[in-house]
Amino acid sequence: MNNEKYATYRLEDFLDDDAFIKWASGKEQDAPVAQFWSEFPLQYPSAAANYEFAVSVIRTYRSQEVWENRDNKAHVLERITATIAANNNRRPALIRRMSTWVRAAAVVLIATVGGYLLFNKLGKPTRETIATGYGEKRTITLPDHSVVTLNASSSIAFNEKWDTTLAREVWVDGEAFFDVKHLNSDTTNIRPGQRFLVHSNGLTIEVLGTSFNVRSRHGKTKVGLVTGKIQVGFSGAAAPKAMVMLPGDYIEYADNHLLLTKKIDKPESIKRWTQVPLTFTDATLSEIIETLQDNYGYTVKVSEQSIKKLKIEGDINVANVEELLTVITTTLNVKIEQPSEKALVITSGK
Amino acid sequence: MQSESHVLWWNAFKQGDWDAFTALYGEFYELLNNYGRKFTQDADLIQDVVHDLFVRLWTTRTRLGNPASVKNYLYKALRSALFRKIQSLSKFVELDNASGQGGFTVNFIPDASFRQEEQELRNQVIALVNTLPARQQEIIFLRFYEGMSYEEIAVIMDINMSSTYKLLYKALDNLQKVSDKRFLTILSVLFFLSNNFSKKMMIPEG
Repeated sequence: MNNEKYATYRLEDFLDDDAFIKWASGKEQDAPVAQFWSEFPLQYPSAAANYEFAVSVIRTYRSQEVWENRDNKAHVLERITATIAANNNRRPALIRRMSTWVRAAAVVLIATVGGYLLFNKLGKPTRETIATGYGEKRTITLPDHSVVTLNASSSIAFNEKWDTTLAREVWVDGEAFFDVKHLNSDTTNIRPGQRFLVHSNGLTIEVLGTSFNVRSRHGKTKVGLVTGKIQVGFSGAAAPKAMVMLPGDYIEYADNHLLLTKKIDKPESIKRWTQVPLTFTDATLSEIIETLQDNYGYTVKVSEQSIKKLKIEGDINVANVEELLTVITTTLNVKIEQPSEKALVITSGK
Repeated sequence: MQSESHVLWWNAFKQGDWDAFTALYGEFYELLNNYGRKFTQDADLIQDVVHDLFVRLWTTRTRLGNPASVKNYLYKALRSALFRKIQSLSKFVELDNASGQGGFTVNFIPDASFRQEEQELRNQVIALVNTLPARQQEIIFLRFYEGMSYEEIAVIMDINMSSTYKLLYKALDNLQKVSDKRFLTILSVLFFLSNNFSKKMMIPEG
């Protein structure tokens, strides 16, 4: 892909380049092509400033209202079906051949409104739950061959057998990274309208063939998208409207409110925890403590709350808790004592 | 560009597969609504057009061809159906330009997620885009939001290639002119880029 013309690319050359536009608007599905554009500034530093500006122009433009009118989706289809039936054009048998799509929509409604208990009742005989302990990570292959990496002290539940006429659904507590098998990539076995739904603490992620991370701890849920496209819906009367996320989009959600929506510069960093045992970027001590407690079962005390705000700039990638503690004590002006195996006391000063 | 499942659904639907038909509906309903919304705020009107579009697809299915992109085919069909509908209602609806094709409005809602300098750039981009005529705004939308190539845009908007370029360059030219007039104090980067624009603009188009 090395091409000299790129070294002198101007803003208008970028905006004029179909391949660049396709990638910058999140429509590029071909991984090597996407990687070429992601790494463009490293390959062609002389055009990096124009590249960044072109990306910014498109990104800022793309932040706009998305009007999907989902409330009327089922209703409009009913009208279409009724009109076609009235026109007598090979009238579709309404009830038995009701579309898979409508049925899938009904399932979501029950799952999000009726909630956990109802699902438990109906799905209990074939329900499978996989949980990880402290400090443990697991990679799970779902019945449709989608791959989930489950972080420490997390659980995932799903039906053992997946009915091809219903949406694929999983429930997550804790943190998980999903690499979802593309819908209907198996050309000999098409299942129109099939969907993949991830439920987690009051929100539902609808997947359209993609990889993303969901983290649900202490009533707060964080979703970050690496590739593809997902739609996030929120349950509850006061909840915000469903939103579509594109690669690099990141949200935090709790108690019917979106706390944060932002773009992440390097979407790949969202899933680094699946490859490196312990990883942080520009983390505060507070975030590190949260991980030690949630993922490793430590009890952590601090001498004063203010030191939780201390921040370690840059990336931390370490193999175990011991190394992490060494990084903390060498970087920050704090002292760490370990009164027992799973207890830590952090005090300021050396 | 074309997704495999779209082709499979399209072929199955043409042979009378109702599930494939509803799968296409399920796949494109939201996108069509979002596109239609840019032409009119009237939700009922958009729903009527989506309804008409899918009814016509089903009733004429045996005569349909194989579009290069199902999505683009539906965009084009929605667009012309919407224009026809708006025109037939034109006694009641005020049209905003002489071509009788109606406006094109992107709703930019406040977004606190951008860093400050990006926020400033965003305001400028929005201000500039909003100065463009409707059809040029539509090109920008299809290009920057939908990520489409010039060829795809030309097919959907039913304009020939050279005119697509002309319109877009005119849009960029307008961006630059307005930025010169209004935003003399903005980022130095933008000035640098404006210079780039003017160089290009000296080359006669087409």
